[in-house]
Amino acid sequence: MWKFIHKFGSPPHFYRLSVVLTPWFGWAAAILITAGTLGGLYLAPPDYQQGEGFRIIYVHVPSASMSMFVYVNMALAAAVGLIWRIKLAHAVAAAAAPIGASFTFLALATGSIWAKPMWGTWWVWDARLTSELVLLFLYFGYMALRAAIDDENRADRASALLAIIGLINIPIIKYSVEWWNTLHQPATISKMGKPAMDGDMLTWLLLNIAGFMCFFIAVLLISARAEVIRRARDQKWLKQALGVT
Amino acid sequence: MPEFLEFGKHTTYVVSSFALVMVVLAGNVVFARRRLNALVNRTRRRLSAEEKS
Repeated sequence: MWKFIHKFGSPPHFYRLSVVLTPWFGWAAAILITAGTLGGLYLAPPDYQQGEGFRIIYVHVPSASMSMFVYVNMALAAAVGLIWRIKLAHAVAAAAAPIGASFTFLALATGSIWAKPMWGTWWVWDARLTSELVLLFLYFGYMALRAAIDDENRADRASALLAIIGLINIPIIKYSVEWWNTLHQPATISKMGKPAMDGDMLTWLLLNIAGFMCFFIAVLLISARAEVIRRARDQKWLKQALGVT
Repeated sequence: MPEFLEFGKHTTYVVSSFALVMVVLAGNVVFARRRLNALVNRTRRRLSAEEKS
């Protein structure tokens, strides 16, 4: 286990692995998102209450799920970096933050666009919407904190602590629709219960969620590779990796 | 509006949501790749210069 963690935590190993894996995840994301989007727009039947407007779910739910998924992974990577002092884990956490912020922005923006025709307003200070907005501020705070501290080690430690403390917001987002009386609808897909959607609608949503996941991994691998190069001190492997003779 | 982008009375909302998502996702890829390429080029130049000196 320790051997695996340290082998995977070695920048040269990660760099080589990420070069190989990026195109696989990139193409998988392109295929899955194309299929999920076209299916969601043209093959899924309209909703009996919301009509064609419900199709926004095919981009809103994957964005919202990924906003939380990325944050949990960012915080886990930051914790690994903090506990085992693995620099690569901090690099991965730093690379994940802007991607997570993008997903959170998309969840809020598409939710707002969906809310206008359904609720008659762009925004309400509802528990789900507000906690998701707090998540966006947590991402911004994490990135701002890293940028504000010149010393790399101190920036890693401080931002990791912020990421870990911010984890408390994730169950609040997830269960806000159950804990409080909100305007936002309950979860569409639950791990325990039967999905609230018909199979003809659900298939395309699951494809888009899988596509967004692959997209995240592909972009994370590219961004983390850049972060690894920026932090690299040992020049021997870097020369080999970049083909400098 | 082309026929394949017609979604009843919710066309504007549906199309703008999907368009926004696609633009932001594409932006993520472009930004990440440009940053990586810039860093690779800069590091290559630095390492080459160090090797020559």
